[in-house]
Amino acid sequence: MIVSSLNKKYDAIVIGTGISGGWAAKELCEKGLKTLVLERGRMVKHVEDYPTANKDIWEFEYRGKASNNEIQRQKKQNRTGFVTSKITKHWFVDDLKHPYNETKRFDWIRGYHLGGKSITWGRQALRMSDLDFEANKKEGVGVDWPIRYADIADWYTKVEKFIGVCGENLGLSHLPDGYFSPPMELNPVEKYFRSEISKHYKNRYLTIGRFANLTGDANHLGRANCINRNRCMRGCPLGAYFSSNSSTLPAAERTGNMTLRTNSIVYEIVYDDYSKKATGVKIIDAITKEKVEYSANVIFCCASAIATTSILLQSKSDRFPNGLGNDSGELGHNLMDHHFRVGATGTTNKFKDKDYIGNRPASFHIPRFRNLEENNKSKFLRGYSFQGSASRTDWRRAIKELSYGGAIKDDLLKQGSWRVGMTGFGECLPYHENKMTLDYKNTDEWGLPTITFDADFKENEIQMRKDIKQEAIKMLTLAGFENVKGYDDVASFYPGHAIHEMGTARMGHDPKTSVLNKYNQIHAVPNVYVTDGACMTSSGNQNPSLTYMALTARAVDHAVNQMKSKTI
Amino acid sequence: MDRRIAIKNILATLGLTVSTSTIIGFLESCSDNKVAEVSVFFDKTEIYLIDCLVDVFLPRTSIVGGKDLNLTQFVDKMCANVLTIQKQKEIKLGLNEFLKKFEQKFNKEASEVSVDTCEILLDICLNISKEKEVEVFKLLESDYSSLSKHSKSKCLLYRFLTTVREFSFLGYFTSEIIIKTEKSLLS
Repeated sequence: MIVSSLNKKYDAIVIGTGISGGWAAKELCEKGLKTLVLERGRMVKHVEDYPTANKDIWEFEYRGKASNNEIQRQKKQNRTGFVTSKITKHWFVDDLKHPYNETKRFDWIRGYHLGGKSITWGRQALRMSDLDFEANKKEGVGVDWPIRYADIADWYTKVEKFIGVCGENLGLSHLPDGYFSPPMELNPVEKYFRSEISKHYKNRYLTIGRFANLTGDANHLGRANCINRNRCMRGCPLGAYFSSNSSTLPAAERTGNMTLRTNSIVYEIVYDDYSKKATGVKIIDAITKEKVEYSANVIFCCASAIATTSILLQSKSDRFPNGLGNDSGELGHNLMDHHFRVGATGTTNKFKDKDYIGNRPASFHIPRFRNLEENNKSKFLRGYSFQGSASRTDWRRAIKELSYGGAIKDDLLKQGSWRVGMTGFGECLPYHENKMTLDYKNTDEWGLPTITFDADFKENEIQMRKDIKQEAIKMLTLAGFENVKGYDDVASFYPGHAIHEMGTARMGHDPKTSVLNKYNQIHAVPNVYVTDGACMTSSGNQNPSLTYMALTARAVDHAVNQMKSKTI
Repeated sequence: MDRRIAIKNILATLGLTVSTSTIIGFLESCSDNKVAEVSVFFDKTEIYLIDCLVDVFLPRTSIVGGKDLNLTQFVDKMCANVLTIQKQKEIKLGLNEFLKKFEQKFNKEASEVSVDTCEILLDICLNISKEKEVEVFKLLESDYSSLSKHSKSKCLLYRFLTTVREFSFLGYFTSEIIIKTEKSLLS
């Protein structure tokens, strides 16, 4: 195979343009480094390339539902039950074009385009705490995180200031306060639920979620405040929520230091045994299939947990026969995701004089309350939080009925009674046996190995789910809601489903048991940094994107200092 | 009242305006022959039954009805393109179960189905107690292959009725006219 080598050398290469890649690009470029940013998917121009952003439901064929033919091409993406809708399907991959293998079911939900999943993310921006960073060590699970909250706190703040996070500070050590713009408002039923929870529990709080949607007076270049369209997943023409496309990539571009190349599939990081460093990356052009090599002094892997790990596993050399930086044998192992879609719903006949108005793009949040103290009495380790909302029901309240006729039709045009629902978001432990591997027999269109998943949730997560359901029922019942029903959507109880895959190149103190050090550098290849979900040593119960961004900003700072001191 | 005038009046009382050409478009596409001509999933007899069901599910009141919004064609299109092959088979079999009931009850040919006869049959099938309604949805979620012959027939019948009902409701309540009506009622 001929690989054409381009002579131009960059200071830095960033692989991937999602949540982490955007931040790496911005920080590297703003610190003056000539940076090549590589994206495997197509170009997406902010505003211009959000084709469904301003469409109303009646404008979509089949009212947004995916056709049977379309689902045949997105069968695995369709496991989520929502992404293949005509409203958002263009943000998710064609499963036939991008196949993978499952020894055990793993829902690998991907977006191959500029900005990646930063366009479609849930926007919850929650800090992890020392309760999370110390847990592995205290419980003897996995390996110890090589960082503590103090190492990352300022980086969280830096990220929150730039991306814009609205929310409420609660003063909880296990869900640290942040730099927030004014919170979105709870509706009357949620306020009632909040007061009832506080009445019945000493360590439980209901707050509005902390979301990366703009509110308040802060100035964010090229972006406007959220106007509650709740169409975030389509791409926001106002740039009212944070995405790479609306925020970090434009910031990188403004420096004049960024070279962006889309349709560039990185398949190998080139290692030089003489210098003990990586010298660059090899890519395949997704369209022309031409192979090109680029060189740089430092490389940031931000392709998402699975893709980054795949690239590292493919990067074999005499020094690293099992993949770049894989001295420990942990590369590809300890695959984690959150588990959710278990909780309860209830209704109330009160508040009928209160209308539900607007489309607030934020849920309420009940922070973790289990196992906060060392004298653990639960049947499981770690904990979970709740996310939910209350609203008045619409015509869909009649779907699971057999009613019909004029009176019913006219009644369904009116708002129904209030309904509240919430789902737990539970931590998953890092299990060595939960892994991804490469299959060189089944290759993709570009001749690259496909990925095989072999991972599942285990007893700790099963016990946690029982508690989630039970506690959700209990809280709603105590608050006086009626028709309280617990649910546990077992069809969703598969890793990948929460789209928080992580852990396959974990950080740790010891090169014998981990892939990355405390600054996200590969232990044995210090000019390669991994700052996407692959780096996570445990999952916490928090939505992880804010942590990826903070770790990325911190790692870039470290890399630039190392380059200045000529350490790398 | 002429349907065109009815729609205009309703919209006017709600403070909404829709062009005459839009209304004419609705009404033209609502004619029974036209629906039969463009149907892609149901045949001529079947589409007439769907048309009757849409009319019974969502009749015109002081607010436009399902037929006014051309939902028969919408249901046909949804069945043709959104349902899986398996579900499509079940719908056709369920439709036959409904027609069998019709023939038994009225001793008439399937082609003679009407809004009035549909109303009578739907009253028997759908106006049931809450407990029986819950049983129906349980039946629809159960493993079809493990059902008895009688339960399979019942399952198919309700698969057909609930699907046509759900698509009718979806088309109706997510239509431009109705969403704007809803907003107007709210304000």
